[in-house]
Amino acid sequence: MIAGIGLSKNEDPYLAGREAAEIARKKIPKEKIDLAIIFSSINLASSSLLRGIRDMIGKVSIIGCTASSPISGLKIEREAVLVILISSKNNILSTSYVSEVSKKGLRQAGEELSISFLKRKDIAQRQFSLIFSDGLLERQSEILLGMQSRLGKSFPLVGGVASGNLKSQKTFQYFDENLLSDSIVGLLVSKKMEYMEYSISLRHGFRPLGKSRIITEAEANVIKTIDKRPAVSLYEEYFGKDIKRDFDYISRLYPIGIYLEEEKNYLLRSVLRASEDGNLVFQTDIPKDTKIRLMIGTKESLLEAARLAAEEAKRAIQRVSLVLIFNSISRKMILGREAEREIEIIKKVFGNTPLAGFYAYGEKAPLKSLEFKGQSYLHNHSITILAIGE
Amino acid sequence: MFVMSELFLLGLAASLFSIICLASALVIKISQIRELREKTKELEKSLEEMDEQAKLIIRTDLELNKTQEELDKKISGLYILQKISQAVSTTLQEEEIFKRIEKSYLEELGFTKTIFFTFDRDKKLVVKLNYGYSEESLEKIKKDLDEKVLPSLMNKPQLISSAKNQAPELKELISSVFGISSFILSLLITKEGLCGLAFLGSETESSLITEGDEELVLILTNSISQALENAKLFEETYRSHQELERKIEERTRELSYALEEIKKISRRKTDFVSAVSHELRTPLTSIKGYTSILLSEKLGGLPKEVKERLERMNRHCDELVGLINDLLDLSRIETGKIKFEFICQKLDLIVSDILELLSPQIKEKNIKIELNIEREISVFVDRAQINRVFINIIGNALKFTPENSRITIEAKEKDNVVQVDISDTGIGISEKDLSFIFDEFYRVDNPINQKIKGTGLGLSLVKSIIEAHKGKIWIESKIGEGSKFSFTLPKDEETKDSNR
Repeated sequence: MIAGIGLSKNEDPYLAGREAAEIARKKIPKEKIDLAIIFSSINLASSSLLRGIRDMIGKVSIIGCTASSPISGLKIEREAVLVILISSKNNILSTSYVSEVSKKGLRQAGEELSISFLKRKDIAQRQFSLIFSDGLLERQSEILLGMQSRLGKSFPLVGGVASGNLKSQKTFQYFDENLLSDSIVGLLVSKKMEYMEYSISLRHGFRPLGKSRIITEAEANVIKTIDKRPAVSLYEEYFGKDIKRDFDYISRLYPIGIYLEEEKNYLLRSVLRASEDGNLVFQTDIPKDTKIRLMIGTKESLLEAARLAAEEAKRAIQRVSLVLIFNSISRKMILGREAEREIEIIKKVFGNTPLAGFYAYGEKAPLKSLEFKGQSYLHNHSITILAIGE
Repeated sequence: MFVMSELFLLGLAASLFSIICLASALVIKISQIRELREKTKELEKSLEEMDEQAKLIIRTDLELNKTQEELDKKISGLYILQKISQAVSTTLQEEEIFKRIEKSYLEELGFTKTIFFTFDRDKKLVVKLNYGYSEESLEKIKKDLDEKVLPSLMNKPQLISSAKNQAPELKELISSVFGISSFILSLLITKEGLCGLAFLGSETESSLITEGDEELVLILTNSISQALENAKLFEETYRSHQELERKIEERTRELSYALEEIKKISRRKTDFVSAVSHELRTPLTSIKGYTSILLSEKLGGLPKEVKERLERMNRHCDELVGLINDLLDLSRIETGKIKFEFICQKLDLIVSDILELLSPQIKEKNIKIELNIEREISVFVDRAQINRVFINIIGNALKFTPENSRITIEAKEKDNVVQVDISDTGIGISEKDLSFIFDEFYRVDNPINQKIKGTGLGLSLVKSIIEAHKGKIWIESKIGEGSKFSFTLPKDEETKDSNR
C-alpha cells in the first residue's frame, strides 16, 4: 500500500477538495488510486468538496467524515480538509455505507454494513474494517455488535466517530459523491496474496482512583443508580454538590473506567451529560452490575500513553507506509497547549511516514491491541493508531 | 455386665471427648470468624479512608487542572494580546487598526466568530471587522442590535459574558442575535464615550468562557479603544494642519500676487520718474544756462531787483538739479542700472575723509565727533556710493543735533558683516515717523525741516545703496533723546569670495 496526503485550508469547499487532492496526487504521481479517505472540518462539509476531489483524481471510491480538528503531519488544523490517496496492489479495498441509521437501529445498521461488505465476490482473506459513524448517534457500540455478529466477534474494527463543532448540530460522513448524515461509512480490507501488515494500537493513560462501584440500575446507555444511589452522586461525592456548572469540565477530566477481566484493562467511557433526575447518559450501553471506577490522568500520563501506542504500532510491522490516528476530542481539551506535542511524539516515532487523522467523538479499536485478536469496542478518551504497511 | 458397663463408660468418655473437641474447635472457629470480621471491618474502614483520601486527591487535582488551564490560557492570551496591541498601536488610521487584528490571533484566543462595530457620525453601527458571519446575516445582526440590544445595554457593565451570572434576559437576547451561546460582548469606550462594540463568540469544543477570557477581552477592547482614540486625535490634528497649510498657501499666493503687482507698479513708477527726470533735466540745464548768462551780465547790466530774482531762480534750479539727480540715482540703483565697483576699503579711512568733507558744518556747530572704529576693519564697498551713505546720515545728524553736542560713529565686526552705528543727541524721531523714515519723499514734520529744505529722497537713496551692498539698515530713536542709525556692510574677505 502506498499513500499520499494533501491538505488544503481554502475556504471554498470545491477548491479545497481539488487543491488537497492535487497535493496528495503529486506525492504518488504514477500509482493507480484505489481509495481516497477524507477528513474535513465542518465548514467544508459539502458535496462540492467531493466533486472537487473527483474532478482532480477521477472517479475513485471515497470514504471519510467531518472532524472538529483534522490532524496533519505535525499540526492540528482548525479549518481544513485532508485527502489521503491510497494505492494498493495486493489488497482488495471494499467500501460501503448505511444511511438512516437511527431509523434502522444501530445494531441492524452495523449488520447491514457487514453484509454489504461480504456480498462482494472478490473478498479474499479479511484483514480489518475501517469505519466512520455519525457523531450524534447514541449507543454507538451497538454498531460494533451488529458488525461483529456477521464478521466475527474478534474481527478487528477500527475507526472514529465523526465530530463537528459546538455550533453544528450535525456531523457528516462522506461516501463517493454523497454527503451523508445519520450514516456509517466503512472499508473492509482483505488481502489478495501475501500477508498484509497492519497494526492497531490503543492507549489512554488513565488510572483508577477511589473505590470500585457497582451499577445497580441501568437502561441501555443511561445509568440510573450506582451503589443504589442516583448515578450523578458518584461525581457529587468526589467534587461536592455544586458541580452543575462545571459538570462537563469535570466529567471530561475524570471519565468512568470499566475493568474488563478478560482484557485485563480499563475501557473508558465519557459521560455525555447528566440529566436533571440524576442519571448519567453515555455514548454507549453500560449494563447493570458492571463494576466501574472513576479514572484520573495527567498530561504526562496521556502523552506517555500516546508514545506507547505509537511505539507498539510501529514495532508490530516492518515497514509502515501510512499512519492513521483516531484521537479523542476530550484528550485534545485536556492536553490544551500540549495537544500538538502529542502529535509530535507520534510523528517522532514514525519519522517521515505519511500521517493523518482527526479528533473524534469516540474511537473504535480492539482493547487488547497488541494481538488485536480481542473484541473491538467503542472507546472514549483514548488514542487509536492504525499503522498500515505493504 | 462389668465389661458392658466398662465399654459403655469408654464410649461415653470418647463421646465426651469428641464433644469437648468439637466445642473447643467451635470456640476457635467462632473466635477466628470474629477475628476475620474484625479484619474485614478494618479493611472496609481502610478502604473508606482511602476513598476519602482519593476524594482529597481528586479535588486537588481538579483545582490544579483548572489553575493550570487558566494559566495556560492567560499566558497564550497575553502573548496574543501583546501581538495585537503592538499591531494596533503602531497605526494611526482607524481602518488599519481593524485590518491588523488577524483572524488567527482571535482564534488563538479561542474565538471563532468576531465582529467589531463602531458608530458613524449619525450614530449608526458600522461593521469594521467580521470573521465568521455572512453579509446577509450581518445586516440582520446590525438591525437586531440597533433595535433590541443597544437600548438594553444602557447602565450595564462594559462587558457582558455568557459565563457570568448577570442579566440572563440580555444574555439570551445577545445569544439569539449572534446565534452563539458562548460569547463576550464588550463596549469600546473612549474619553468621549461609547464609540463601538466588540462581539467575540466561541463555538469550539473548549468553549467554556472563563474569568481569564473576560479579563483578556477587556484588555483587548480597551487597547483597541485607545488606538481608536489616538487615530481620531491624529485625524483631527492632521485635518487642522492640512487646513492651516491650505490657508497659508492661499495667503502666500495672494501675497505673492500682491507683491508682483507692487513690483510692477514700483517698476513703472521708477521708469516714469526716470523718464520725467531725463525730460526735465534738458530744459532745466537750458534754463540754468540762460540764468547764468543773464547773471554774468554779459548781455547787459541788470537792475538790482531783476538780479535778485535771477539769483533766486538760479538757486532753485540748483535745488531742482539736485533733486532730479537724486531721483535718477535712486531709479538707477533700483533698476540695477548703476554698476557698483566693489573694492576693499579701510572703514576708518572712509569715515575720516567724510568728516574732513563735513568739517565746516562740524566746526560751525561745535559738534564733538566720537570715533570708535578699529583700524583693521575693512569693508567691501563701492566707495563713491558708500560716501553718499555716510554724507547723508552724518549730514542729517549734524542737521538735527544742537550746537555743542556729540555725534558717535562706531563700527564692529559681527558674523559676516560690519555693523556701523551713527548716533546723535539730536531732537529724535517720533515712533509714528520711524516706520516711514526710509520712504521716498517722506520728510518728518519738525521745526528744523520746516526751516531747511530737503528732497525727502536722501534716506531712500541710502537704503537702496545699503541694500545693493546686501546689507540692512535700521533706526532706533526717541523724541528728545536722539537717533541711532545702524547699517551693515559686507566684510572684506568673505564678501570678496561670494562676489567673485
